[in-house]
Amino acid sequence: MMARPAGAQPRSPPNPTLRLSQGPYLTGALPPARSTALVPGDFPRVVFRHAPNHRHDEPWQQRPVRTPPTAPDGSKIGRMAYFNNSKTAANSNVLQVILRDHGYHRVESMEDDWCIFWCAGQIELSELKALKAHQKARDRTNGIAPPPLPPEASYGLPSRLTDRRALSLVGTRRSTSSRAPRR
Amino acid sequence: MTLKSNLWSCFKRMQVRHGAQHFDFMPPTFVLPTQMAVFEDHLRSRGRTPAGDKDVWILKPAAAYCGRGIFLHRTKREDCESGGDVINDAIREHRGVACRYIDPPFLLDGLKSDIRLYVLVTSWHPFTLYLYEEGLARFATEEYDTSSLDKRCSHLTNYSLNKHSTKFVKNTNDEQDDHGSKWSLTAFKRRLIQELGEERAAQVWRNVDDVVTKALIAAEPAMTEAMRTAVPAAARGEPNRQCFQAFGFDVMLDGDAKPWLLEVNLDPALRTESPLDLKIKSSMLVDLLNVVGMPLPPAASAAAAAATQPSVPMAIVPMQELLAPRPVNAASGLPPPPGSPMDTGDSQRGFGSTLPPPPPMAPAMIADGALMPPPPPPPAASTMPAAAAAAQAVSAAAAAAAAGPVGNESLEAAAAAEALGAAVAKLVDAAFAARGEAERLYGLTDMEKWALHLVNCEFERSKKTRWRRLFPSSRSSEYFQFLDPSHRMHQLPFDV
Repeated sequence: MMARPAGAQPRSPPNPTLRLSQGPYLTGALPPARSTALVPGDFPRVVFRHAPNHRHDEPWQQRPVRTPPTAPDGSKIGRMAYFNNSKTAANSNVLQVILRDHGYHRVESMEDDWCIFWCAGQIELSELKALKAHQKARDRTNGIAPPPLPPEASYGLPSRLTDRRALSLVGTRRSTSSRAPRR
Repeated sequence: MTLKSNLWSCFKRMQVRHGAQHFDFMPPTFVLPTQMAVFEDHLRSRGRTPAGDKDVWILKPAAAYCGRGIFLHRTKREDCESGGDVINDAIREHRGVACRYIDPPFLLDGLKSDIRLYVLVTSWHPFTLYLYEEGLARFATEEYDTSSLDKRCSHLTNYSLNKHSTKFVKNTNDEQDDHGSKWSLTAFKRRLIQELGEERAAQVWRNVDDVVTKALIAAEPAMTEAMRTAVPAAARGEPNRQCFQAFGFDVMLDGDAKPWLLEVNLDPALRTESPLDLKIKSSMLVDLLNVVGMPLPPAASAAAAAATQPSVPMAIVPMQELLAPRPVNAASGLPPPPGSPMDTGDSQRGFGSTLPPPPPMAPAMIADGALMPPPPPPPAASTMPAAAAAAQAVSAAAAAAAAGPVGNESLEAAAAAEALGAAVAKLVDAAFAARGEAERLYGLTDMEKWALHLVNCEFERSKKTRWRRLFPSSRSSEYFQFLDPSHRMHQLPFDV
């Protein structure tokens, strides 16, 4: 939990049904979030806008979830949710505020039905393979790690190798088994 | 590429393959401990030269952040000449990279700085790259001075390090974005114009675009391969629409205002410790979500129904087919005539396909659940006049709308706005018709049309944001030579 801003009163736990006017950092009622299809053939999507009255020290837990948007044709939509696995709460705080402002609930498990997964670690392959049509993942898929440079390969600097031999050492092999270590 | 050693490896490969005249934006680097002996040899030989004993090296751990574990090193000339140790125990134990220190750096008010750029990759194949127009400039808090390498707050610009300095000045007003130890990128750009003049400053930012684009192109083959391994749709050669990557690029300018890539962060800090932080990072995220495009989730009943439906066979040509040799008439060396036994429908679907002509595409759930969009409208006979007429209509309507209502004539204003909307719609239609024409001329496959459609839709969305697409762009042709030619979708006729 982040530190409460100076002067703020103790607050009750976040309540997903909290009305906007009761939001501690929001004043006045706000219309529901909006959706649209911007160009012909594009899919209906949520339109994101800049959060009003948002303070830099506002913890996401204090931000009520806004009424979700409706589909352009009035059809029913599913529950909007996000999943964030960041261990550093402050690093995803502003993102969570934005998502809650647009009708997204937080879910605590990867197995829940989320729409956006803000991944702070390396995403599991099985998770990528199971993505549904409406799901988006900000993934951290590492590339297939390039083979390490040979010790002699310090081009542009005094080297034991000529460029011709150096050229033969790089770019011709690609490891498909070694993966970059996690960060 | 977000590991310093991997980034250098990718860069080095491109430098060897394409020449240092194209890839010259990273300082010479040694990966330690792998290249320890070479590094030692290099220090010794450089140290004996007149300029070499002034060389400073910055040693960074392999995968740390916030300035942790970074230190500077300078070899003494007497050690080089006497054959003594040119590296110390700290270097021997170092696991990471040693980079030649960029000296002198570009100084503002005597302080060193670097810039944090936000970069978005929405697809690796076709390669689709955006750069956010706003970012942060971070300043060291002590005057630059190479006589002392121990002053970390003079040489390192990491915010997390400098904020603990007594000389750190916090920005408390997002309207004053050129105040304190952290500025907005816009403020930095303004100052750069003052320092260098408009023309030279513009060239600096053009070079920065180049650095970002080439750095990611260097990683593209590895990332495309990884996506093919991880994502079934990518393995089938389909364009990506479900994963995106947001990077933080750290770039600094040297004394000649040449940009150098310091590192790439895969999880850029989104912590908001000041109103300026909030303004920049929240805008970036809102715009990012709009560019990526968050689809509305289907209702539970619709999702359940879709799950029970058998998947629709894909009307898509696998990439392997695309890349297969094109059949030719042995006698003439030309492609077979339409309708002949050898004809594979190239003229409609691109070369090399041996599949039967695909059925018309319709919105459908395909095997991995990716929503396939409807095809673009059919090509018009002549689209350019329509586009020109629509553009004229937009100009006229915009002029009417700009004139605004006189007195209380809100109806006129509404009519003008309506006319503007209709004209814009016509323009969009004309653009789509032109795109259809381009597709017909290029003879694209359905897969390629799909990729074209997705990337163009995304581009339309990006126009309302501050994400500027670097690739594809009007500069694409400058970069084709560095891209894997077997990845055909990089060169599709995208809207730019």
